[in-house]
Amino acid sequence: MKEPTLDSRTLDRECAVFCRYLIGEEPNDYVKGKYREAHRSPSWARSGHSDPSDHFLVKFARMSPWSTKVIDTYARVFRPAMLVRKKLVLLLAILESCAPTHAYLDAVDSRSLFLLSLRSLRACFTFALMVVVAVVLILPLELAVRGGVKFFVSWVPHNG
Amino acid sequence: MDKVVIVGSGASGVHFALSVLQKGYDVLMLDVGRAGTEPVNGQNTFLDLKTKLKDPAAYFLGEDFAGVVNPDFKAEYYGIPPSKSYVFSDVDGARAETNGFSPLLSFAQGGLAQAWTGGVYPFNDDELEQFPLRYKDIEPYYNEVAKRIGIAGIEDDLSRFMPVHDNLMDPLRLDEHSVLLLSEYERQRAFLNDKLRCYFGRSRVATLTKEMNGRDKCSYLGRCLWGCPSGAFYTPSITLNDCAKFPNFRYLSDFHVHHFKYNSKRRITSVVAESLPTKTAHEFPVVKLVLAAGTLSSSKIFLTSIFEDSGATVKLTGLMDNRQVLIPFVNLKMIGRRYDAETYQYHQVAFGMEGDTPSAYLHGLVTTLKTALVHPIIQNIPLDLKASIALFRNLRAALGLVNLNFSDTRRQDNVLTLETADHGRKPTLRIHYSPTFHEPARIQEAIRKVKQAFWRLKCVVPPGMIHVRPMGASVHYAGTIPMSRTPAPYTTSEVCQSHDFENLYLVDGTTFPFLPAKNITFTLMANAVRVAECAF
Repeated sequence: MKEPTLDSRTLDRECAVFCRYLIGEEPNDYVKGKYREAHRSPSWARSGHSDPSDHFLVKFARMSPWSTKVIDTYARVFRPAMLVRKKLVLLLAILESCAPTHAYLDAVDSRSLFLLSLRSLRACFTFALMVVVAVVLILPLELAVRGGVKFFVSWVPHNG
Repeated sequence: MDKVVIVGSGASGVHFALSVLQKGYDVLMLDVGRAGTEPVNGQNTFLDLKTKLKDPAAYFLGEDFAGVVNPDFKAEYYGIPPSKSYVFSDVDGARAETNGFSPLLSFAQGGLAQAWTGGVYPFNDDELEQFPLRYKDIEPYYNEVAKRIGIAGIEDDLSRFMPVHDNLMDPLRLDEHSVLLLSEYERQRAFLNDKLRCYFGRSRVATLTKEMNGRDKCSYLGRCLWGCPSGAFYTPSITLNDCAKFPNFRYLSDFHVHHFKYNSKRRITSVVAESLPTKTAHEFPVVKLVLAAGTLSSSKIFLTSIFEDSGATVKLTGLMDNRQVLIPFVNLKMIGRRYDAETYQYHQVAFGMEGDTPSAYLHGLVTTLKTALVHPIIQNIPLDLKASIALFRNLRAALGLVNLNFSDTRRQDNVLTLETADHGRKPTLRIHYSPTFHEPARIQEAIRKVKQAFWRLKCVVPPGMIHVRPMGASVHYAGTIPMSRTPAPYTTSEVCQSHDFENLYLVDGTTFPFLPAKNITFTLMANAVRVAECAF
């Protein structure tokens, strides 16, 4: 199923939220422009597969960087190819391709193996916590949306 | 002199052409010949491009974002850069029906090696055992090709597997990560050599470390993958340009060769090619025909020619390809360091793992991560993207990738034939490939040894990230019409003259009777020069 066409304002808002989530910065006009352009590019838009629950999850993710993190965590564990993740990877690809945002990805935090290990442990712990949150929050919602669609489809009259 | 018609402008075709042109032959080269674009901003480094290009995302990801590696694309850790996408652009009717094989075909000027990574490794006598020639027979042509293309390399521990030939240039400047790997190897040499029979050394690469024939030396801009702007990195289109300087050379692009015609004495009289712009068939008279279109395309032309003449659908057996396994690793000593973007981007370190037979030898290329796009890697880290980015930033300089290559042998059940059932369409190529029964165990054992070797070099292999590439991914196809000392159908003589058609020569991988674990491109070029010198 193709994602419904989104207007520029919605895409810009989505890009801004996702950008704050990924690198903690607002996107500049160039990044927003490329993000919009990709959504109108037939080859990117056509690739992959999405379903109604994907669109619901995109709306949820678009609300704030926190909700993006919840959905991204959920996607990483249960459905890595879902639409939200595809959009995030697209934005990541744009961010690494241009200045000044590529600098964020090129930077290092510390040369201390101890500090880096601590940070990694914290990231893993946070991830595990978010998986629990995602399962409690998102799994029932997604199942409900999917169930609702099936329920709706079963009531659509068959032609012939 | 006779006119020679050459089909294809890949690595073997252009070197064969250059040799016969130098001998005074008239040469007509027929080629589809998709062309790339000139590199942009020649003096800029990889990082400069992100700042100075007007639309950097279009350069790195493509106008249509085809360079974005989506999460549902699980096959690889990297995509084809937009500047190289022309190398794999398709031609109508060229697609093959496959079983157990994922072929990559190229219709580019310069062929598949327009997108290679430049590894040049001569075969040794063990690896040439099934060829009707020894190393001393092909050595002069390795020397000649090295003189033409420029190879950076050095005599070291790897020389036990790859003879040192003439015309080697000084090696490239190493990046920090590669320096660490090799210095750690020095410390662990005894264990690695004695216990694992594993030897490390410098990659030999077709890259200039001094100016040659109007080509600049490597200026370490970090743009190898995106298209070397200085011409230091060799691609066959450079030799095609050298051929074009000869008045006796004619290059016709936009022609897709379909088949050749032959008379009752099985002498080829003409070659039939479709003009792609007009979709019309053209016939070119032939005195001597040289197929250099790559193993799959040359085999298809061979099969189609027999089919068009007699209606017979024959089978060519023995298709080979190198199985490749990608093994990412983290060098613990490099964690938290900044990566250096202004370095040579492809592999600078290689290793060989000795086996009891030539077919058991394993060849590994070690690429330290520098200027590739990183979103394909970040999304593979088993965390959410934000956490993955945070982790990746500190690991980036420590990451590397081993591309482990396995040899292959000719087997009767690996077959190329034609699918001719649909009479409304041109015949299509059908490929069937199945690996040996023992392959999974062989791969597991090899991975275990590589992990052990890298642990000794203070590197760890993250769990769950090893990727066994599908057959066909290495694009080192060979073996369907092999060289043979005794004449037999669907074989060639030792100078690659067909035993089926007296004025047909095959100078690509089609004639290789064995496929060592090493990259074959250097040997393809040397063998093509050998055929030109010995048979023409």
